[in-house]
Amino acid sequence: MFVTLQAHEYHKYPVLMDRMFRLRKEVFADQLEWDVSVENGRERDFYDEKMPVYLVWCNEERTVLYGSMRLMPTTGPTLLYDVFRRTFPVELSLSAPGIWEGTRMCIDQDALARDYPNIDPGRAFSLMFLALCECALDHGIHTMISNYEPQMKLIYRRAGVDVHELGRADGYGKRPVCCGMFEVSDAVLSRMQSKLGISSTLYHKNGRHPDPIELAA
Amino acid sequence: MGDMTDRFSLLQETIFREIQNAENVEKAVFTLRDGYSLGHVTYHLAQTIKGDLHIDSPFVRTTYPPEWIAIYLTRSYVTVDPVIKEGMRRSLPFDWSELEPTEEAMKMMVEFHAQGMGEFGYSIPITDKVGRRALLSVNSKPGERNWSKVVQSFRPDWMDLAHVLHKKAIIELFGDEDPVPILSPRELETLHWSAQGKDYKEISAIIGISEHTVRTYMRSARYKLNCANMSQAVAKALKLNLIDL
Repeated sequence: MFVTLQAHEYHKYPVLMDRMFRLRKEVFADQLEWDVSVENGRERDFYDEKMPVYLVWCNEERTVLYGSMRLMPTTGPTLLYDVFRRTFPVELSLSAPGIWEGTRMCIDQDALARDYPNIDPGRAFSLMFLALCECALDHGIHTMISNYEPQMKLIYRRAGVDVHELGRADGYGKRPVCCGMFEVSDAVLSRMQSKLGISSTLYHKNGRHPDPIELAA
Repeated sequence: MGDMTDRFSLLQETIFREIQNAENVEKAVFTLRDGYSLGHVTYHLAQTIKGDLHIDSPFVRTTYPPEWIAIYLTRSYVTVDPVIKEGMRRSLPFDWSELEPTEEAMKMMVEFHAQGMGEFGYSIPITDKVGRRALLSVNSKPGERNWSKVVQSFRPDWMDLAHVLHKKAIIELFGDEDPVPILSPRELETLHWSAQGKDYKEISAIIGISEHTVRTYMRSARYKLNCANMSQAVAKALKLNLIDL
Protein backbone atom coordinates (compact mmCIF):
# COMPACT_ATOMS: atom_id res chain seq x y z
CA MET A 1 0.00 0.00 0.00
CA PHE A 2 0.99 3.60 -0.46
CA VAL A 3 1.14 5.82 2.61
CA THR A 4 2.79 9.02 3.75
CA LEU A 5 5.06 9.14 6.76
CA GLN A 6 5.42 12.51 8.43
CA ALA A 7 7.68 13.62 11.24
CA HIS A 8 5.08 13.09 13.99
CA GLU A 9 4.92 9.38 13.12
CA TYR A 10 8.47 8.49 11.96
CA HIS A 11 9.09 6.79 15.30
CA LYS A 12 6.17 4.40 14.76
CA TYR A 13 7.84 2.78 11.74
CA PRO A 14 11.53 2.32 12.57
CA VAL A 15 11.97 -0.73 10.32
CA LEU A 16 10.48 0.99 7.31
CA MET A 17 12.39 4.23 7.87
CA ASP A 18 15.67 2.41 8.29
CA ARG A 19 15.08 0.32 5.20
CA MET A 20 14.30 3.48 3.23
CA PHE A 21 17.66 5.08 4.05
CA ARG A 22 19.44 1.83 3.20
CA LEU A 23 17.57 1.50 -0.09
CA ARG A 24 18.49 5.07 -0.97
CA LYS A 25 22.15 4.23 -0.37
CA GLU A 26 21.87 1.15 -2.62
CA VAL A 27 20.17 3.09 -5.39
CA PHE A 28 21.74 6.54 -5.34
CA ALA A 29 25.25 5.80 -4.07
CA ASP A 30 25.84 2.26 -5.42
CA GLN A 31 23.81 2.02 -8.62
CA LEU A 32 23.60 5.58 -9.88
CA GLU A 33 26.90 6.67 -8.29
CA TRP A 34 25.54 10.02 -7.21
CA ASP A 35 27.70 12.07 -4.93
CA VAL A 36 25.53 11.64 -1.84
CA SER A 37 26.51 11.37 1.80
CA VAL A 38 26.54 7.82 3.10
CA GLU A 39 26.95 6.86 6.73
CA ASN A 40 26.59 3.39 8.23
CA GLY A 41 25.20 2.06 4.97
CA ARG A 42 22.45 4.68 4.86
CA GLU A 43 22.00 7.70 2.66
CA ARG A 44 20.69 10.73 4.53
CA ASP A 45 21.16 14.41 3.97
CA PHE A 46 20.42 17.84 5.43
CA TYR A 47 16.84 17.80 4.10
CA ASP A 48 15.97 14.61 5.96
CA GLU A 49 16.48 16.65 9.14
CA LYS A 50 13.83 19.15 8.01
CA MET A 51 10.87 16.91 8.80
CA PRO A 52 9.98 16.06 5.19
CA VAL A 53 7.08 13.87 4.10
CA TYR A 54 7.95 10.43 2.77
CA LEU A 55 5.62 8.74 0.36
CA VAL A 56 6.30 5.03 0.73
CA TRP A 57 5.08 1.90 -0.92
CA CYS A 58 5.08 -0.90 1.64
CA ASN A 59 3.25 -4.02 2.74
CA GLU A 60 0.20 -3.78 5.01
CA GLU A 61 2.22 -4.47 8.15
CA ARG A 62 4.56 -1.65 7.15
CA THR A 63 7.59 -3.86 7.50
CA VAL A 64 8.59 -4.39 3.85
CA LEU A 65 9.47 -1.43 1.64
CA TYR A 66 8.95 -1.42 -2.13
CA GLY A 67 9.63 2.19 -2.94
CA SER A 68 9.88 5.66 -1.49
CA MET A 69 10.24 9.33 -2.27
CA ARG A 70 10.67 12.51 -0.27
CA LEU A 71 8.29 15.46 -0.52
CA MET A 72 8.90 19.03 0.59
CA PRO A 73 7.05 22.30 0.04
CA THR A 74 8.83 24.82 -2.20
CA THR A 75 7.98 27.60 0.24
CA GLY A 76 10.68 26.07 2.48
CA PRO A 77 14.28 25.03 1.85
CA THR A 78 14.44 22.67 -1.14
CA LEU A 79 17.15 20.38 -2.40
CA LEU A 80 16.69 20.95 -6.09
CA TYR A 81 17.23 24.68 -5.85
CA ASP A 82 20.15 24.41 -3.45
CA VAL A 83 21.92 21.66 -5.35
CA PHE A 84 21.29 22.56 -8.95
CA ARG A 85 21.24 26.34 -8.95
CA ARG A 86 24.87 26.51 -10.07
CA THR A 87 24.33 24.26 -13.06
CA PHE A 88 20.83 25.19 -14.11
CA PRO A 89 19.36 28.34 -15.31
CA VAL A 90 17.64 29.75 -12.22
CA GLU A 91 14.36 28.07 -13.13
CA LEU A 92 14.43 26.02 -9.97
CA SER A 93 13.63 28.91 -7.70
CA LEU A 94 9.91 28.20 -8.24
CA SER A 95 8.21 28.73 -4.92
CA ALA A 96 4.56 28.88 -3.88
CA PRO A 97 2.09 27.00 -1.69
CA GLY A 98 0.77 24.19 -3.86
CA ILE A 99 4.13 23.64 -5.61
CA TRP A 100 6.09 20.82 -3.98
CA GLU A 101 9.31 19.03 -4.80
CA GLY A 102 9.79 15.28 -4.91
CA THR A 103 13.29 13.85 -4.60
CA ARG A 104 15.07 10.53 -3.98
CA MET A 105 12.40 8.52 -5.73
CA CYS A 106 13.49 4.90 -5.78
CA ILE A 107 12.16 1.34 -5.82
CA ASP A 108 13.46 -1.89 -4.34
CA GLN A 109 13.65 -4.13 -7.40
CA ASP A 110 14.49 -7.26 -5.42
CA ALA A 111 11.61 -6.87 -2.99
CA LEU A 112 9.25 -6.20 -5.89
CA ALA A 113 10.50 -9.20 -7.89
CA ARG A 114 9.92 -11.37 -4.83
CA ASP A 115 6.46 -10.11 -3.82
CA TYR A 116 5.13 -8.68 -7.09
CA PRO A 117 6.76 -10.73 -9.87
CA ASN A 118 4.37 -9.29 -12.45
CA ILE A 119 5.34 -5.69 -11.86
CA ASP A 120 8.36 -4.59 -13.88
CA PRO A 121 10.43 -1.59 -12.77
CA GLY A 122 8.80 0.71 -15.33
CA ARG A 123 5.35 -0.10 -14.02
CA ALA A 124 6.59 0.18 -10.44
CA PHE A 125 7.80 3.74 -11.06
CA SER A 126 4.54 4.55 -12.81
CA LEU A 127 2.56 3.28 -9.82
CA MET A 128 4.67 5.42 -7.52
CA PHE A 129 3.88 8.37 -9.74
CA LEU A 130 0.19 7.60 -9.70
CA ALA A 131 0.21 7.37 -5.90
CA LEU A 132 2.12 10.66 -5.79
CA CYS A 133 -0.50 12.27 -7.98
CA GLU A 134 -3.31 11.05 -5.68
CA CYS A 135 -1.46 12.15 -2.57
CA ALA A 136 -0.78 15.61 -4.03
CA LEU A 137 -4.41 16.06 -5.10
CA ASP A 138 -5.55 15.04 -1.63
CA HIS A 139 -3.52 17.87 -0.14
CA GLY A 140 -4.12 20.76 -2.51
CA ILE A 141 -0.82 20.39 -4.39
CA HIS A 142 -1.19 21.37 -8.05
CA THR A 143 2.41 21.15 -9.27
CA MET A 144 5.32 18.81 -8.56
CA ILE A 145 8.96 19.45 -9.34
CA SER A 146 11.19 16.42 -9.41
CA ASN A 147 14.58 15.13 -10.50
CA TYR A 148 15.01 11.97 -12.54
CA GLU A 149 17.34 10.11 -14.85
CA PRO A 150 16.83 10.91 -18.56
CA GLN A 151 15.47 7.47 -19.45
CA MET A 152 12.63 7.94 -16.95
CA LYS A 153 11.03 10.51 -19.18
CA LEU A 154 9.78 7.83 -21.54
CA ILE A 155 8.33 5.83 -18.66
CA TYR A 156 6.52 8.90 -17.36
CA ARG A 157 5.13 9.66 -20.78
CA ARG A 158 3.85 6.09 -21.15
CA ALA A 159 2.18 6.49 -17.77
CA GLY A 160 0.36 9.57 -19.01
CA VAL A 161 2.49 12.18 -17.21
CA ASP A 162 3.54 15.22 -19.17
CA VAL A 163 6.85 16.34 -17.71
CA HIS A 164 8.10 19.80 -18.58
CA GLU A 165 11.88 19.59 -18.36
CA LEU A 166 13.40 22.59 -16.59
CA GLY A 167 16.98 21.56 -17.26
CA ARG A 168 19.55 18.83 -16.89
CA ALA A 169 22.98 18.65 -15.35
CA ASP A 170 26.04 16.43 -15.75
CA GLY A 171 28.52 15.46 -13.12
CA TYR A 172 26.21 14.16 -10.44
CA GLY A 173 26.45 10.51 -11.41
CA LYS A 174 26.93 8.16 -14.34
CA ARG A 175 24.15 9.80 -16.31
CA PRO A 176 22.88 13.36 -16.42
CA VAL A 177 20.17 14.31 -13.94
CA CYS A 178 17.05 16.05 -15.21
CA CYS A 179 14.70 18.32 -13.35
CA GLY A 180 11.15 18.62 -14.46
CA MET A 181 7.80 19.95 -13.47
CA PHE A 182 4.45 18.31 -13.91
CA GLU A 183 0.85 19.21 -13.36
CA VAL A 184 -1.33 17.52 -10.75
CA SER A 185 -5.02 17.61 -11.54
CA ASP A 186 -8.07 15.39 -11.88
CA ALA A 187 -7.43 15.30 -15.62
CA VAL A 188 -3.85 14.08 -15.15
CA LEU A 189 -5.03 11.53 -12.59
CA SER A 190 -7.66 10.00 -14.86
CA ARG A 191 -5.22 9.94 -17.80
CA MET A 192 -2.71 8.05 -15.66
CA GLN A 193 -5.35 5.67 -14.32
CA SER A 194 -6.54 4.75 -17.79
CA LYS A 195 -2.98 4.33 -19.18
CA LEU A 196 -2.08 2.08 -16.24
CA GLY A 197 -5.42 0.25 -16.16
CA ILE A 198 -6.13 1.18 -12.57
CA SER A 199 -9.50 2.37 -11.41
CA SER A 200 -9.22 2.34 -7.64
CA THR A 201 -7.31 4.59 -5.30
CA LEU A 202 -3.76 3.59 -4.41
CA TYR A 203 -2.99 6.21 -1.80
CA HIS A 204 -4.97 6.43 1.42
CA LYS A 205 -4.24 9.09 4.00
CA ASN A 206 -4.58 6.77 6.93
CA GLY A 207 -3.18 3.79 5.06
CA ARG A 208 -5.77 1.25 6.12
CA HIS A 209 -6.61 -0.09 2.69
CA PRO A 210 -5.02 -3.03 0.91
CA ASP A 211 -3.76 -2.59 -2.65
CA PRO A 212 -6.28 -3.10 -5.45
CA ILE A 213 -5.76 -6.33 -7.35
CA GLU A 214 -5.25 -4.62 -10.72
CA LEU A 215 -1.90 -3.27 -9.44
CA ALA A 216 0.04 -5.85 -11.40
CA ALA A 217 -2.18 -5.80 -14.47
CA MET B 1 -17.89 25.69 -12.31
CA GLY B 2 -15.98 28.52 -13.97
CA ASP B 3 -18.19 31.08 -12.24
CA MET B 4 -17.74 29.39 -8.88
CA THR B 5 -13.96 29.41 -9.22
CA ASP B 6 -13.96 33.08 -10.15
CA ARG B 7 -16.20 33.99 -7.26
CA PHE B 8 -13.96 32.13 -4.81
CA SER B 9 -10.81 33.71 -6.12
CA LEU B 10 -12.40 37.14 -5.92
CA LEU B 11 -13.19 36.44 -2.28
CA GLN B 12 -9.59 35.33 -1.80
CA GLU B 13 -8.25 38.52 -3.37
CA THR B 14 -10.43 40.61 -1.10
CA ILE B 15 -9.39 38.80 2.06
CA PHE B 16 -5.76 38.82 0.88
CA ARG B 17 -5.80 42.62 0.72
CA GLU B 18 -7.71 42.92 3.99
CA ILE B 19 -5.12 40.77 5.75
CA GLN B 20 -2.29 42.82 4.27
CA ASN B 21 -3.97 46.07 5.25
CA ALA B 22 -4.96 44.90 8.72
CA GLU B 23 -3.25 46.74 11.55
CA ASN B 24 -1.65 43.54 12.84
CA VAL B 25 -1.92 39.75 12.83
CA GLU B 26 -4.35 39.90 15.75
CA LYS B 27 -6.80 41.82 13.57
CA ALA B 28 -5.99 39.77 10.48
CA VAL B 29 -7.12 36.45 11.98
CA PHE B 30 -10.56 38.00 12.53
CA THR B 31 -10.58 39.17 8.92
CA LEU B 32 -9.95 35.64 7.75
CA ARG B 33 -12.55 34.18 10.10
CA ASP B 34 -15.30 36.57 9.04
CA GLY B 35 -14.41 36.45 5.35
CA TYR B 36 -14.98 32.70 5.24
CA SER B 37 -17.73 32.54 7.90
CA LEU B 38 -15.58 30.30 10.07
CA GLY B 39 -15.96 29.51 13.75
CA HIS B 40 -12.41 30.45 14.63
CA VAL B 41 -8.96 31.03 13.16
CA THR B 42 -5.60 30.59 14.87
CA TYR B 43 -2.12 31.39 13.61
CA HIS B 44 0.70 29.80 15.58
CA LEU B 45 4.41 30.37 14.91
CA ALA B 46 6.36 27.47 16.39
CA GLN B 47 9.29 29.22 17.91
CA THR B 48 10.79 32.58 17.32
CA ILE B 49 14.50 32.82 16.89
CA LYS B 50 16.27 36.07 16.17
CA GLY B 51 20.02 35.75 15.86
CA ASP B 52 21.18 33.88 18.92
CA LEU B 53 18.17 34.88 20.90
CA HIS B 54 15.63 32.13 21.39
CA ILE B 55 12.28 33.38 22.51
CA ASP B 56 10.54 30.47 24.11
CA SER B 57 7.02 31.79 24.11
CA PRO B 58 5.46 31.07 20.75
CA PHE B 59 3.69 33.74 18.75
CA VAL B 60 -0.02 32.90 18.71
CA ARG B 61 -2.88 35.01 17.40
CA THR B 62 -6.41 33.63 17.63
CA THR B 63 -10.07 34.54 17.47
CA TYR B 64 -10.90 32.14 20.34
CA PRO B 65 -12.78 33.82 23.18
CA PRO B 66 -10.74 34.81 26.26
CA GLU B 67 -12.61 32.16 28.34
CA TRP B 68 -11.29 29.34 26.19
CA ILE B 69 -7.79 30.81 26.07
CA ALA B 70 -7.78 30.98 29.87
CA ILE B 71 -8.82 27.34 30.20
CA TYR B 72 -6.27 26.33 27.56
CA LEU B 73 -3.49 28.11 29.43
CA THR B 74 -4.36 27.13 32.99
CA ARG B 75 -4.70 23.46 32.08
CA SER B 76 -1.55 23.53 29.92
CA TYR B 77 -3.49 22.12 27.00
CA VAL B 78 -0.71 23.20 24.66
CA THR B 79 1.21 20.11 25.85
CA VAL B 80 -1.82 17.93 25.06
CA ASP B 81 -3.32 19.57 21.98
CA PRO B 82 -2.81 17.11 19.09
CA VAL B 83 -3.31 19.86 16.52
CA ILE B 84 -0.19 21.62 17.80
CA LYS B 85 1.81 18.55 18.77
CA GLU B 86 1.37 16.87 15.41
CA GLY B 87 0.78 19.98 13.34
CA MET B 88 4.21 21.45 13.95
CA ARG B 89 5.78 18.22 12.73
CA ARG B 90 3.48 17.57 9.80
CA SER B 91 4.00 19.30 6.47
CA LEU B 92 0.87 18.36 4.57
CA PRO B 93 -2.39 20.14 5.42
CA PHE B 94 -4.69 17.96 7.53
CA ASP B 95 -8.24 17.65 8.77
CA TRP B 96 -8.62 17.32 12.52
CA SER B 97 -10.47 14.04 11.93
CA GLU B 98 -7.12 12.58 10.83
CA LEU B 99 -5.63 13.08 14.28
CA GLU B 100 -5.40 10.21 16.72
CA PRO B 101 -5.98 11.95 20.03
CA THR B 102 -4.78 10.63 23.36
CA GLU B 103 -7.21 10.24 26.24
CA GLU B 104 -6.13 13.61 27.61
CA ALA B 105 -6.68 15.20 24.23
CA MET B 106 -10.20 13.74 24.13
CA LYS B 107 -10.96 15.44 27.44
CA MET B 108 -9.67 18.67 26.01
CA MET B 109 -11.93 18.32 22.97
CA VAL B 110 -14.97 17.66 25.20
CA GLU B 111 -14.18 20.87 27.07
CA PHE B 112 -13.64 22.65 23.76
CA HIS B 113 -17.12 21.69 22.55
CA ALA B 114 -18.64 22.50 25.93
CA GLN B 115 -17.29 26.02 25.46
CA GLY B 116 -19.40 26.26 22.31
CA MET B 117 -16.75 25.64 19.70
CA GLY B 118 -17.50 23.80 16.46
CA GLU B 119 -16.34 20.22 16.09
CA PHE B 120 -14.54 20.36 12.74
CA GLY B 121 -11.16 21.81 11.99
CA TYR B 122 -8.50 21.98 9.32
CA SER B 123 -4.86 22.97 9.75
CA ILE B 124 -2.26 24.12 7.27
CA PRO B 125 1.42 23.77 8.17
CA ILE B 126 3.65 26.57 6.91
CA THR B 127 7.37 26.27 6.19
CA ASP B 128 9.32 29.30 4.99
CA LYS B 129 12.70 29.63 3.28
CA VAL B 130 14.49 30.13 6.59
CA GLY B 131 12.93 26.88 7.80
CA ARG B 132 10.58 28.52 10.30
CA ARG B 133 7.41 26.56 10.97
CA ALA B 134 3.96 27.83 11.69
CA LEU B 135 0.41 26.50 11.63
CA LEU B 136 -2.81 28.08 10.47
CA SER B 137 -5.88 26.37 11.93
CA VAL B 138 -9.43 27.10 11.01
CA ASN B 139 -12.45 25.54 12.62
CA SER B 140 -16.13 25.33 11.97
CA LYS B 141 -19.00 27.06 13.63
CA PRO B 142 -21.08 24.73 15.85
CA GLY B 143 -23.58 22.71 13.83
CA GLU B 144 -21.64 22.89 10.56
CA ARG B 145 -23.06 20.28 8.16
CA ASN B 146 -20.92 20.56 5.07
CA TRP B 147 -17.42 20.79 6.46
CA SER B 148 -15.72 18.61 3.87
CA LYS B 149 -17.29 20.68 1.10
CA VAL B 150 -16.19 23.90 2.77
CA VAL B 151 -12.63 22.55 3.00
CA GLN B 152 -12.69 21.33 -0.59
CA SER B 153 -13.84 24.73 -1.85
CA PHE B 154 -11.67 27.01 0.21
CA ARG B 155 -8.50 25.07 0.91
CA PRO B 156 -6.58 26.62 -2.01
CA ASP B 157 -7.50 30.07 -0.64
CA TRP B 158 -6.48 29.17 2.90
CA MET B 159 -3.17 27.68 1.74
CA ASP B 160 -2.37 30.95 0.03
CA LEU B 161 -3.62 33.16 2.86
CA ALA B 162 -1.72 31.13 5.48
CA HIS B 163 1.49 32.44 3.94
CA VAL B 164 0.17 35.98 3.75
CA LEU B 165 -0.50 35.83 7.49
CA HIS B 166 2.89 34.26 8.10
CA LYS B 167 4.73 36.99 6.18
CA LYS B 168 2.78 39.56 8.15
CA ALA B 169 3.67 37.87 11.45
CA ILE B 170 7.38 37.82 10.55
CA ILE B 171 7.32 41.53 9.76
CA GLU B 172 5.39 42.21 12.97
CA LEU B 173 7.89 40.24 15.05
CA PHE B 174 11.16 41.20 13.45
CA GLY B 175 10.28 44.34 11.55
CA ASP B 176 12.01 43.00 8.46
CA GLU B 177 10.62 44.55 5.35
CA ASP B 178 10.55 42.16 2.42
CA PRO B 179 13.68 42.52 0.35
CA VAL B 180 13.20 42.66 -3.42
CA PRO B 181 12.45 39.04 -4.31
CA ILE B 182 14.64 37.15 -6.74
CA LEU B 183 12.62 36.09 -9.75
CA SER B 184 13.81 33.61 -12.35
CA PRO B 185 14.08 34.54 -16.05
CA ARG B 186 10.93 32.54 -16.86
CA GLU B 187 8.98 34.19 -14.06
CA LEU B 188 10.06 37.60 -15.35
CA GLU B 189 9.23 36.60 -18.91
CA THR B 190 5.69 35.55 -18.02
CA LEU B 191 5.21 38.77 -16.01
CA HIS B 192 6.54 40.78 -18.93
CA TRP B 193 4.02 39.28 -21.36
CA SER B 194 1.28 39.64 -18.79
CA ALA B 195 2.16 43.35 -18.56
CA GLN B 196 1.64 43.47 -22.33
CA GLY B 197 -1.90 42.29 -21.76
CA LYS B 198 -1.39 38.68 -22.84
CA ASP B 199 -3.35 35.91 -21.12
CA TYR B 200 -2.09 32.44 -20.10
CA LYS B 201 -2.97 30.92 -23.44
CA GLU B 202 -1.23 33.60 -25.47
CA ILE B 203 1.87 33.53 -23.26
CA SER B 204 1.97 29.77 -23.56
CA ALA B 205 1.98 30.10 -27.37
CA ILE B 206 4.63 32.87 -27.36
CA ILE B 207 7.11 31.06 -25.09
CA GLY B 208 6.25 27.58 -26.31
CA ILE B 209 5.47 26.02 -22.94
CA SER B 210 2.22 24.54 -21.66
CA GLU B 211 -0.47 26.69 -20.14
CA HIS B 212 -0.05 24.92 -16.80
CA THR B 213 3.67 25.73 -16.83
CA VAL B 214 2.89 29.39 -17.53
CA ARG B 215 0.45 29.39 -14.63
CA THR B 216 3.02 27.78 -12.36
CA TYR B 217 5.65 30.44 -13.14
CA MET B 218 3.10 33.16 -12.57
CA ARG B 219 1.87 31.64 -9.31
CA SER B 220 5.44 31.49 -8.10
CA ALA B 221 6.08 35.12 -9.14
CA ARG B 222 2.88 36.24 -7.43
CA TYR B 223 3.78 34.37 -4.24
CA LYS B 224 7.29 35.86 -4.16
CA LEU B 225 5.90 39.35 -4.73
CA ASN B 226 3.23 38.70 -2.05
CA CYS B 227 0.41 39.98 -4.23
CA ALA B 228 -3.31 39.24 -4.24
CA ASN B 229 -3.59 38.75 -8.00
CA MET B 230 -1.62 38.83 -11.23
CA SER B 231 -2.28 42.44 -12.14
CA GLN B 232 -1.05 43.55 -8.74
CA ALA B 233 2.04 41.35 -9.20
CA VAL B 234 2.73 42.92 -12.59
CA ALA B 235 2.34 46.41 -11.13
CA LYS B 236 4.71 45.59 -8.28
CA ALA B 237 7.29 44.08 -10.63
CA LEU B 238 7.15 47.24 -12.72
CA LYS B 239 7.51 49.42 -9.65
CA LEU B 240 10.52 47.43 -8.45
CA ASN B 241 12.03 47.68 -11.96
CA LEU B 242 12.10 43.89 -12.26
CA ILE B 243 10.43 44.22 -15.66
CA ASP B 244 9.74 47.16 -17.94
CA LEU B 245 7.07 47.87 -20.48
